[in-house]
Amino acid sequence: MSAIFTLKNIGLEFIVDGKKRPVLDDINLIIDDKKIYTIVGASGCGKTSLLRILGGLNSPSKGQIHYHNQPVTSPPDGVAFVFQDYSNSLLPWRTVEKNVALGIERDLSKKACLERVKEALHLVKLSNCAKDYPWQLSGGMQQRVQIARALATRPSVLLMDEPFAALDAMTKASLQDELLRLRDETGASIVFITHDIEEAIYLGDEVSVLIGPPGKITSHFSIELPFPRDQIKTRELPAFLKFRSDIHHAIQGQS
Amino acid sequence: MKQFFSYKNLAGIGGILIFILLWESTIRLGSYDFEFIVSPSQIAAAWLPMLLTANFWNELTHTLTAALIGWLLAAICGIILGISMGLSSRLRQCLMASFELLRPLPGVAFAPVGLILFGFSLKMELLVIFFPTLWPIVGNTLSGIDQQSNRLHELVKIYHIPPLQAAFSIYGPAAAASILVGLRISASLAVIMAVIAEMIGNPEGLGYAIIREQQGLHPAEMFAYIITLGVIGILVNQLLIQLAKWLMPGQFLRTTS
Repeated sequence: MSAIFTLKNIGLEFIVDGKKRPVLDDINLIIDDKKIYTIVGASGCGKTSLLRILGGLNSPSKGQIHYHNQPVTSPPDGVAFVFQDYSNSLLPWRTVEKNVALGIERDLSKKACLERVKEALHLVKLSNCAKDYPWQLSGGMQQRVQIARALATRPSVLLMDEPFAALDAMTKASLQDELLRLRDETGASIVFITHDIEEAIYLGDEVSVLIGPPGKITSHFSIELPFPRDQIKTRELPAFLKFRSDIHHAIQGQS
Repeated sequence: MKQFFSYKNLAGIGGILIFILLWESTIRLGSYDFEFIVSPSQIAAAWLPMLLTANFWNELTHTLTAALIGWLLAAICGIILGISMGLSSRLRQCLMASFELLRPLPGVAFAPVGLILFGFSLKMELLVIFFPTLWPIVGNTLSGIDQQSNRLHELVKIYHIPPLQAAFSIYGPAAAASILVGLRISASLAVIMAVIAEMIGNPEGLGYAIIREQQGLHPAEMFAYIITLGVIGILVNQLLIQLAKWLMPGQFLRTTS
């Protein structure tokens, strides 16, 4: 199995008022096929910066990043991004359908594009809202539009930056379950950033703990919990609770 | 603006009626005696037959055509200039100083220039309309681009949208609300400048008609033309609001609902 992303000794510095501000330090990470990677850490620890490096939106100051063995210099093909702020990320003058088509409309024929949009909307259960405008939808639905837009490009990796952080608990739970289903249906790998430890365990096959600034990955957990996951039962499993306390300690112990 | 016409806006309509009534009674009662201030009823009496003459409609058409052409030219140039300056920092550096220098120049100052260049003609009028109407469009387009979230930039990168297409299908529409503000300001301005150009330069259209009636000592007709311009102003604004709704159903509904 070849790795999708390989990160070696990645470091990132921003220059603020002429002073160097370290953001990430010595990050090593391998992203494999068909897995969900969650990266959990406190706010301001460099989680988003790490995701932006994966997406080719920021270049690391140190180290190497490869996507399918190619160095990453700009956003690579096959990588899709889902941002936290859905309202800024969707185009308000485009209908849901046209928003979802954004990534594919140039490369596909009109018919093929429409087909693909339909399929993506079906995946996120929004087939009935194709002609609506994003701002006519609830927050959870808007976030699903953003996920559909990403899926329409048939990505090999989905990069998600705290996508459910702004949503209420119930919407969040149902979107978490949908995400697990989507992974099974599409076979895309997912890198998921969150500050919610339970969410990280519930979704993740692999959980990495990021402590910072400057952000460093201090521990990894391979989550072995039974599928299908269930919002009540999974969260009550002793193994789940053990992961929760271990990760909690991993974050607190070093901050 | 919508409320202006709605039947529910009784208070607004009442206000106008009271004003007209006061004006009428002041003149009728002779409490204000000035030969050249006429009463609303006299203005109406002059206006209605005027509406039946071909001359009136020719004058109206002339002014509106001049304003429309000048405004369209300014809109095309202004939007292209604003988007280019918004997206290219180099172009912006080159042009910003000139922009700040030219913007405060009063548009009327171009009237003598236009007269020298083009004589008493439509071209002269267009020059006087074009320059002042250009700046609000450039300025609003530019600020519309500036206010955009950085996210749009990232979307363009992630989905590999080529620059020209990004300008037309992402950055342009995202600035549309702001561009339309600029277009509305300059539409009113275009009518104003057309009238001024006709008053001091090209002897045609409504602007010239006002001067002609003033010099012929026909105050009722003069006021009738002024009221005509007021009506045009309202209609132009309404038209642009409808245009905005039609152009971007999404955003407009959101801002008004």
